[in-house]
Amino acid sequence: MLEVEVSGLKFENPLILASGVLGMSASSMISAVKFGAGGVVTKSIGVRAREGHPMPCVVELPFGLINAMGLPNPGCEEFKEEIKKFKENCDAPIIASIFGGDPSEVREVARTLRDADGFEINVSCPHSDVTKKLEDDEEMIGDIVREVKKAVDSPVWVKLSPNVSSIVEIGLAAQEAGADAVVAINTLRAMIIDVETGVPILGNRIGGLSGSCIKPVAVRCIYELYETLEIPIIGVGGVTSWKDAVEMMLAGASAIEIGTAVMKDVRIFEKIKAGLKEYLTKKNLKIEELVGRAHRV
Amino acid sequence: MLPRMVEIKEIIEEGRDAKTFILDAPWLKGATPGQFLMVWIPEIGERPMSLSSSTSITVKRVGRVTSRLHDMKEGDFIGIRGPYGRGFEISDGKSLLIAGGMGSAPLAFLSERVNKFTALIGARTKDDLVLLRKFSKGELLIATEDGSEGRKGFVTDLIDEIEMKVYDAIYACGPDGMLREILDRAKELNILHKLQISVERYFKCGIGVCGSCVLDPSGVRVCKEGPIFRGEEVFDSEIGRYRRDASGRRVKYGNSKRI
Repeated sequence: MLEVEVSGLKFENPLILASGVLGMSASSMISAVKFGAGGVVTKSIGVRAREGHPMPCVVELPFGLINAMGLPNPGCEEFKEEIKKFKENCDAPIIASIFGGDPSEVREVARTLRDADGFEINVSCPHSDVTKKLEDDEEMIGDIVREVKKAVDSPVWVKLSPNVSSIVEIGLAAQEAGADAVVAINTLRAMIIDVETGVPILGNRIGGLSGSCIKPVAVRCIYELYETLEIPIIGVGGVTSWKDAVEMMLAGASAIEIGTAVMKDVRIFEKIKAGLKEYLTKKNLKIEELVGRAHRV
Repeated sequence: MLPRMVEIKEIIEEGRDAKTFILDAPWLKGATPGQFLMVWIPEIGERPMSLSSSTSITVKRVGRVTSRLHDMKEGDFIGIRGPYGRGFEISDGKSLLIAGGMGSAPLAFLSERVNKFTALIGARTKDDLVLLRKFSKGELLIATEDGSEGRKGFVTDLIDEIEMKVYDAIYACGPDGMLREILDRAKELNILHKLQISVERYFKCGIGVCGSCVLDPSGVRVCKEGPIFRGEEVFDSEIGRYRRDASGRRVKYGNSKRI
C-alpha cells in the first residue's frame, strides 16, 4: 500500500533516511531499515577522508537543530566497503550522497561508489567550504550532474539548497543537465551565540538549521518546484509526524527523507508508516494520488 | 539543550595529570552513574566527559580541550550540556567494579550507589591511579603495569584473585582491550547478563544524530543507547577489534593502523 517508485527505484515505503544522520556505517543504515525506513541515503562522501569541523558540531533547540558537522567522512575508497556490506544484508535501496569541489571530483566519488542504487549530489551543505559556493551556481551544478550521469547508470538526484534566491532556477538547471530527481531541501544557514560569554557556540560558527521549524520552508520549496519541474521531487526538512509527510506529498513530494527526527526516536519510520496507511484508508486514496494534490486548488 | 555556563566550585588534584572539577550545577543531582556531559570551553572546543559523581567530572590532560580545562581555576566557568546517555542499572546485591585508567571516573560515581562491592582498579603507574578514596568503603584490589602499587600487571590479572561468578552484578570501564577480555571471561562463565560495560567511542554530537559513535554490527549509538551496555548486547561487537576515528575510518585496536 505504501510502495513508491521514484526515478526508477522501488521503495517499500516512501520514508527514506536523510543524509548526514547516522549513515556513517552499514550497520547504522541497516538498523534504520529494520526500524522501518524504505531506503537510506548515506553520509555525504568525498574523494578523501575528512574529520569535519571542530566541536561543538550541534546545538539542540526546542524547535530544531543547528549543526556544523563539516562533511566528516572516511573517503569514497573506504566507504565502498560499507555500501557493499549494506547490500549484502539489506534489500532496500541505498543512495550514496556524494560531494566534491568540482565536476571531476564528484564523478570520481560516484564511479568509486557505483555499487550504490542511486546518487544524491550534495551541492547544498550550507557550512562547508566545498559545497557552499556551489549552491547558487547553476552552471557548475549542471556540469557536475552531466559528469556524474556520464559516469554511472543508476539514477542521479540533486539535493537543493533553500539558501538561494530561486530554488526553482537551480532545480531547472539540474533537470536540464539530466538529473533524475531533485531533493528539497538542505538545511537553512543559521547561527547561535552564547549570551553569557558572547561566543558563537558552533566550532564553525555558522551551521545549518534543521528540524520541525524548517518544515514550512520545505513545503513551500517543494510546492514551487512541483509547479515547474517535470522530474520527481523528494521532500526533506522537518518531518516529524505522518501529517508532515502527507503535507509534503500534497505539496509535490514523491518520497520523504527523515533526518533530525531520527535523533529523538529511531522508531519514527514505523510510526509515520502507520499514520500514512490510516490516512490513505480514511481518504480512500492511493499513495501516488497524494503527490501534488494541493496543486488542484 | 543549549550549553549552560556553570562555575567550577572546587578543583581536586588526582595524581599525575588528572583533576576532579566539582561543578555548581545542582540540576545534575538526578544524573545516573555512567551518564556523561558534553563539556564546552568557549573558543576551544567541546568533548564528552563521564560524571565521576553527580556534580563532578574527573579528567586527564590529553589534548587541547582537556589541557585548557586543566589550566582553569576555581570560580571559572565552563559550558555543559547533559547529562546524556543510558547509565548503569544499579544492583542491590554484591557488585564487582573493574576500572582501567580513567575508567575509574564513572565507577567512582557508581560506588556511591551500590551497597557491597569489590573494586579492581588498574593503571599504568601509582601516579595514574585516580579517585581511590571513593572505593575505600568496599574491598579494593590494585594493579599497576610497573608494579609501583599493588599487583604488577593489568587490572584483568586481578580477576584471578577473586571469583567473578559470585557477584550479582559486574561493572567495567576502561580501554577496549580490557573490555574485550572481560566480555570473553563473562561469556565463558555464562554470566554476560550480569555484566554492564561503559563503552567509549568518538562522539561528535552526543545526542544520537551524527552516527560517529555507532557500533558494528548492531548499529547501536553509543551516545544514545549507551554508553552503558549489557554484556550480551555487545559481546559480538567491534569492541577490542576496531573503532572509528573522527572521519569514520576504521582503526584497528591496539595500534593506529587503519584496517
